[in-house]
Amino acid sequence: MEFLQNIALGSSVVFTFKGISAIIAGVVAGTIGGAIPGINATMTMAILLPFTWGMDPTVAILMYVGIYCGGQYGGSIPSVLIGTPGTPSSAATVMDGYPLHLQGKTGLALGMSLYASVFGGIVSSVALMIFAIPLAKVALAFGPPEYFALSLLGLTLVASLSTDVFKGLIAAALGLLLATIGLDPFAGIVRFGFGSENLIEGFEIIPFYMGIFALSQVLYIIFKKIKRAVVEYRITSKYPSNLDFIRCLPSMLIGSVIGMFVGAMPGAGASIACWLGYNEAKRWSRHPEEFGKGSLEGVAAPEATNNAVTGGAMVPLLSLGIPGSGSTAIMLGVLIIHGLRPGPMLFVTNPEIPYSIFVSLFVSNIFMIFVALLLIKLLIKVVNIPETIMNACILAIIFVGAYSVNNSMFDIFTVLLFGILGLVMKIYDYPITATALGFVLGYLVETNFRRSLTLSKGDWSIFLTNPISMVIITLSVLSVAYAVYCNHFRKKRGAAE
Amino acid sequence: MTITVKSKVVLNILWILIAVGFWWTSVPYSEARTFDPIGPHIFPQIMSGVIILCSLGNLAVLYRHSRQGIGEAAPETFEPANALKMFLVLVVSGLYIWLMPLAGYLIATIFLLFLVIAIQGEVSLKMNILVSCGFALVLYLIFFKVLHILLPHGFLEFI
Repeated sequence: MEFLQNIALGSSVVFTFKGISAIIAGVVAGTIGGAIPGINATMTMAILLPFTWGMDPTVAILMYVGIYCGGQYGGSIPSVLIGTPGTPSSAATVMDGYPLHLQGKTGLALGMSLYASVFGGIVSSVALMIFAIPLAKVALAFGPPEYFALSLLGLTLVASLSTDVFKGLIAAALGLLLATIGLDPFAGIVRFGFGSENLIEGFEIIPFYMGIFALSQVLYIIFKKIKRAVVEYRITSKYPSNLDFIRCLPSMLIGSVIGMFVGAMPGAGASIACWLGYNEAKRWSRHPEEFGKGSLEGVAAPEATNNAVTGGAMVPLLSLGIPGSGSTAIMLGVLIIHGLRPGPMLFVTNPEIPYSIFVSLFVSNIFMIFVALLLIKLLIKVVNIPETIMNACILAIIFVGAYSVNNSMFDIFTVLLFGILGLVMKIYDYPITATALGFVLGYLVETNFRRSLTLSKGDWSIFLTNPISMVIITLSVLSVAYAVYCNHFRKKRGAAE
Repeated sequence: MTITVKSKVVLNILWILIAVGFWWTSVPYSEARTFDPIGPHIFPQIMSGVIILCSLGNLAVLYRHSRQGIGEAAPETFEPANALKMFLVLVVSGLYIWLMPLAGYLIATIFLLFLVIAIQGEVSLKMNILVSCGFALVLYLIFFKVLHILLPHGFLEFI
């Protein structure tokens, strides 16, 4: 009964003019961002952060749910039309989407990617409700040691799943270190302020995100001179029939389940999930020989997977306050700048936020159909704007957005600083998501670490005597140890070859 | 050109220097104790330690690979001309920070857009001017008129 009341509360927020407008704007922006190769949902979210200033936190987060869903779907458009994934999470869609386009079955491929995305998104929104609420209730009993351990697990998983565990750990520790700059929450002293008034509060989240996610990517596109092929949109075949949809249903279900679980795991993300979904769908398919040659199931599975990730990724964000990906880290940032902190208490103090997210995730996926069918030609025009102009315009948005945080030139300087840092990390293959997560979780990690030690009067064994934190810390250590072993083993095998 | 092993070594040394800098700077914070049994210096020092250890790990791997003659799999390549363009974009961005309070948001942004497009090339002068002026004006109207952000007007303050 309480659940239904809260869903009604969430619906009352979503089904308003502001709420619906925010979701539509988000889906449109996300689809455009996802459809431009080199720009993904995370970068789109980072660029649009300053536009949330004048919004209610609920409206802002609804827009971001729309961007997240739209961004996952948008990546499939260039995957099918030009054989280049718009986002890393739509890389597997190229395998069968592009061959279908070459066979003149463009409508079939684009239609199936849309239906599968919507299917995966809706399934994951239901799963989000099923898993997030009980998990949040369990998390209400968590104390500082458990929270510290959970945050640590999130970070170590992100670090462990990067290409090189040392690089991952450096990136995560750097983010945590950057978060310590500013006023210390316990002692009330300014740490690493170097006498600058601008550093008393530390670095602002918005310029940090805009720098490390958006500016670094613009600079990287210029550095690598990433050229985009012109996307031509011509429907050369009918959209999928009901029979096609039913035939692809098992693949979509497999993809949705994989997407939900992988999405809920910090650090794994949609780029890993889409390949898992593709491979599993191929393994269980009645016609595995068709995969890679233009199989409709080969489009349905990864597209259902990458959109199912959205719901999965929001489970730890909403119930524990721990984001597992760049996109959810930005969502956490949006809530923080509006004075809210996700976690189990959010269900108690501001139930309209999590429940409106549940409803909006469902609604966003429905709107995706209309946006894709009605606005696709217009979106393709935006996607085809030359990258030279696009880069300059994004740069101008980033700078004015950063300035608008405090009306301060220092924030533009911050964007530049973290843009350069992000660029260096991209060039040398360090996971910037780990740094972003470290930065946004820094306060949570440190305060819970110090609160735990305050409770134990300085006895460090508190983390190992508490059963939950002991299990979680053991998992963290094992994930790092396993990653070190795998890296070492892989390099040794590479050396032997 | 490719990203060399030498530059990776330099980057890892840079991480170590940054971490050492944080460690060293945090030492005086140990005096600021309240009811907190570990103080404000321990957490940054642990993080600095992680960075130092992992950077040393990276350096050890790089050293072992160079000793065994193991090449990096598909090293990152780049065109020097593009690196120069990127550097110029950064310089223009730096100039923008200096110019905005003096010339105001609108003029500085037109300047930024025009130069960034010109540096990258491939767009005609006419289109460049049109986009620079048009987009700067659109952003000005959105942020100043709609979002009510107090953008600097520089010497155009009287307007």
